Amino acid sequence: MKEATLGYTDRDRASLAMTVALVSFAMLFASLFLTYAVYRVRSAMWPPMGFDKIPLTLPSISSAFILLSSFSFIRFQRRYEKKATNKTYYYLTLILALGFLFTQNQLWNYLNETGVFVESGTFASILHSFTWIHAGHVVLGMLALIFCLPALRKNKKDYSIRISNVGKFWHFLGIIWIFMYIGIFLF
Amino acid sequence: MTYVHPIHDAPKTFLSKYIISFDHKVIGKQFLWYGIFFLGIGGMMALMIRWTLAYPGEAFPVLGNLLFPHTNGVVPPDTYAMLFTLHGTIMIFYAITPILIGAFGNYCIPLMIGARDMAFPMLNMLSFWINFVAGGLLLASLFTPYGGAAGGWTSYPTLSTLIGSPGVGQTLWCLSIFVLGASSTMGAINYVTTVISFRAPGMGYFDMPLTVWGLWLTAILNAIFLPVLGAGCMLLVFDRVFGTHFFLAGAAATQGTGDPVLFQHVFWIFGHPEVYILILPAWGMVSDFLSFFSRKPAFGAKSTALAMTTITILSTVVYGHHMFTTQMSPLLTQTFMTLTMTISIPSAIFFANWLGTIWRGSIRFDSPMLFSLGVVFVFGLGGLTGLYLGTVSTDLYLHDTYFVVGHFHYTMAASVLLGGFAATYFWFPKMFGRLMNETLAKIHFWGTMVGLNGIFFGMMVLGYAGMHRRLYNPFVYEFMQKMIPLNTFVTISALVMGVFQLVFVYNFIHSMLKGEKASDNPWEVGTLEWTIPSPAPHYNFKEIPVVKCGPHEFGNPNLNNGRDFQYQTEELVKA
Amino acid sequence: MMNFINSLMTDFVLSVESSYFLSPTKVITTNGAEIDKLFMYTTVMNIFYFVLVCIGLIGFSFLYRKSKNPKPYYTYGNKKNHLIVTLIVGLAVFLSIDLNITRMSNDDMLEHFWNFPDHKNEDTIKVEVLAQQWMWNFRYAGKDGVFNTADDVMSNHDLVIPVGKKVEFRITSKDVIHSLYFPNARLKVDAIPGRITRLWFQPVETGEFDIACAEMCGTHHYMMKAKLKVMNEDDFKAWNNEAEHLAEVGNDGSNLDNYWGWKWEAE
Repeated sequence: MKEATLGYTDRDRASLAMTVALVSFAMLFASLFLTYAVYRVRSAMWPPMGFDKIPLTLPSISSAFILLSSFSFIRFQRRYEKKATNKTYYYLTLILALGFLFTQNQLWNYLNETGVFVESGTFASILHSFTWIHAGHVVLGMLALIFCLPALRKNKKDYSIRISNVGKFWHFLGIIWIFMYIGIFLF
Repeated sequence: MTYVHPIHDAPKTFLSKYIISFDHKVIGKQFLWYGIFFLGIGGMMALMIRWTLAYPGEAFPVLGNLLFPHTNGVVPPDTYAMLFTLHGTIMIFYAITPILIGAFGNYCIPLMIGARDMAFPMLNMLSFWINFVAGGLLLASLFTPYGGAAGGWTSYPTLSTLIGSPGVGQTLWCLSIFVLGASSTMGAINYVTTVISFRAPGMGYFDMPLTVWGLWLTAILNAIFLPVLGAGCMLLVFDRVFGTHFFLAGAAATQGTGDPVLFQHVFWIFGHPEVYILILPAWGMVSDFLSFFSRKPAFGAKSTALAMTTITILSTVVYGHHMFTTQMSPLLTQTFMTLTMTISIPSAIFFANWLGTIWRGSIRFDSPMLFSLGVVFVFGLGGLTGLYLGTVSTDLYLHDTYFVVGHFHYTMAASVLLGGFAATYFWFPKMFGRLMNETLAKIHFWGTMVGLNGIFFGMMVLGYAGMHRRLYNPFVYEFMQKMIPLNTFVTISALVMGVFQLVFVYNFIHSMLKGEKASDNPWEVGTLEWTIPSPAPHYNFKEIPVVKCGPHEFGNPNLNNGRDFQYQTEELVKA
Repeated sequence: MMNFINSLMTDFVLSVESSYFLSPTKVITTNGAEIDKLFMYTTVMNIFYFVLVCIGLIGFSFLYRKSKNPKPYYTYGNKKNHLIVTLIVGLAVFLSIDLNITRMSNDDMLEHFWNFPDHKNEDTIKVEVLAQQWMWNFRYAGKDGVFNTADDVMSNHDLVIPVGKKVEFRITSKDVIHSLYFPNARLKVDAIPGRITRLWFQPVETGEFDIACAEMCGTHHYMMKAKLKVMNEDDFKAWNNEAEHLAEVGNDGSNLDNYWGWKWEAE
């Protein structure tokens, strides 16, 4: 019904807007990475004196969670678009559960136990606040997912635009996390 | 091409019509009122600052005793710091941005490209109300213990961390800027999408009025660079609230050391594009108005649009010239200087095109035209004085002096304000269906012009003489004693300018209620918004127009329909 | 109210009478005049172009007003000669102003302001500056010529240097960002916590001059001033000898607060 004047469909418009939005989010995270790069390059030693390298276990598990959830999102979206609604429910639950596990599996407890408090200098500041900001966005993504719940009802209106946009955001967060995993924990 | 978006029924209740409205025209007006409200507050603050500089230790007239009872009406030094901080913040983020981008962006984009509304009306509505929340946060910060933020609008750490400014004011400032950034980004997403996908059939990018070009490029810059400021503010809030060490250094950094200069980098990566975010809409509007009122096509409209795009791109790589005195490496310094200098090529093309537009035109001196010519004048001054500050060695002397203040007020305040007034006078008939009083508008123009040149040129002279910024009482320095009279002159100019704004307020309100009824096309201009009735009806266009020619079709000698212009919906008349 | 307006009017008349175009303070260094020279060059070029713009703006407004020129010239400005004129304007501005001032500024920076004196040379006066809210601290190496030792000469508010010698400053800040500003030397540099910035000049005139803080540093930013005292050689020697003596006998070597300085790298 609402077809656009220059041949742009609602779907085009939504994905265009989402692209602009993702550019904005990417700039936010790029600024954080810039901050990290500056401190990293400046300091003679990383991690700085008195700190140990963070063991890769926890971050790796987090990466697995977020990758799995991204993967389930792809499955979920595909099923929805094929109108194979019988199992979409499981996938959506799985995504939400993995997202929740991801936020629970963050390093904060570990960091506080090993004495890397927020207040202990830039190294700790970066670890804490970058994971906060990322986890905050994951929570935002989960809220957005809740807005996809009506899609589970049968014979209702088409939610594929909404689902594909939330999916883009979700995959985007996965990519950011992978960048953080490689940039901050691996190296 | 057939038609498209549905015509909804006009909202009936007061709430859906005026408050939570999804209509871009209502949202535009909301932004206009909001911006004018903050413009008043920011202007009042400016007067208090000026008063203190000209008459240090004397009570601020009329309002002083009310606001500062403890000091018998004299502005105290800590309040003074708060005043110039909030003056900058309010004028940039809460006055100019809402008026130029929020109000005219919302109002003009759909009308000028022939759309019924923005691409995402709900996002648009949210954008305004989130902006409102941001404004509320900023005003609330004034009433916290220790008062509002007082570290300058740039809020450089470590002054803006807990060691320089304890108290909630600065934190609220950061949060309000962050929330405002979210709101503006939402607006920007909307504008970008609308311009790309909602143009009327037949309207190519170069058939868009230059106003839309300016607003579109502004939106792109906003979407890209506001998040950078957001990240900076967020880290600053973390430093203040959670005790992280991003920007702490020196004695305060007990555990490892951060880097206060990093904030400056982040701030100016955003901050320099922000200058263009503010000026681009005004450039676009002025380019249009000069053509409209010279009754002649915009000279080199395509090259104007391309010059704007070039400046948009260049603006992202020159930010370092704000930081020459922090002693970056010589290589970086030289690079930034050279890049900065290249901006003058597209700027010179602007001026050539503007003058080319009025060359051999048939100029009508209606108020929007007067203000546009004013913009060319003040932007000439503002642009050329930028050269001193882009040059490293002269910047060593002029950095952080009143020369800088004069320069950026010429570019960001004077040009943008005059551009905003031009736009208000121009679109007022379409917004409210009535004409503004021309005589009062002309009085307003000349008063403003005299006042603002007195202020800002005076400031530049003061800066050249060595007076630096943000001083509560400059005359404690011996070498500034001789500047007292000039400071008085600047302050009196500011008062004069302030008084003439009352003329505008009176004209605005009076015309809105009792002004002469406007015809559909009082300025005889052919862009799409003038093809519909005044005020613009709900859902704008009965039928989506089909665009057949450019926005600046004036004075075509082959026209024989009694008009000297063509609507964009008409086939271009050829010989 | 009337009184208030009356006094404003009087002030206005007075201010206009005495408002001449203020000139900056006297240059007292060997290289400060370079900045004035560049400023003047830019000003002359700016006035030239601005007058051109004004001639166009006012001249065209006058010549082509509606009553005089009812028929506009119908052109898009896309003809070849229009494009050439536009390009020539753009390039003329770039070549005549921008390239020249970039070159001049680079020369100035390389020859003067970045060309730091050899600090191992006996003749170079070395000063460490610590900015704090709202005061300037200056530090000389003292008798042993090494910074951050017990015999350093320390001074608040007063900076004493001899005329005719190169002075190098190394600057840092204790709390927030400040900016060391010598109006008479046309120079300023930020004082940043956690970093050391540098500045040098060579005074050629004796006298007392103002030093200011140019970066917003809190409520009493405006009070953060110091005095620059440029003395002739003999007076400086006398002052220096006395100060070094006083530092030797008077400095409290056990007070850790006195050790805010740092050693200069031996290049």
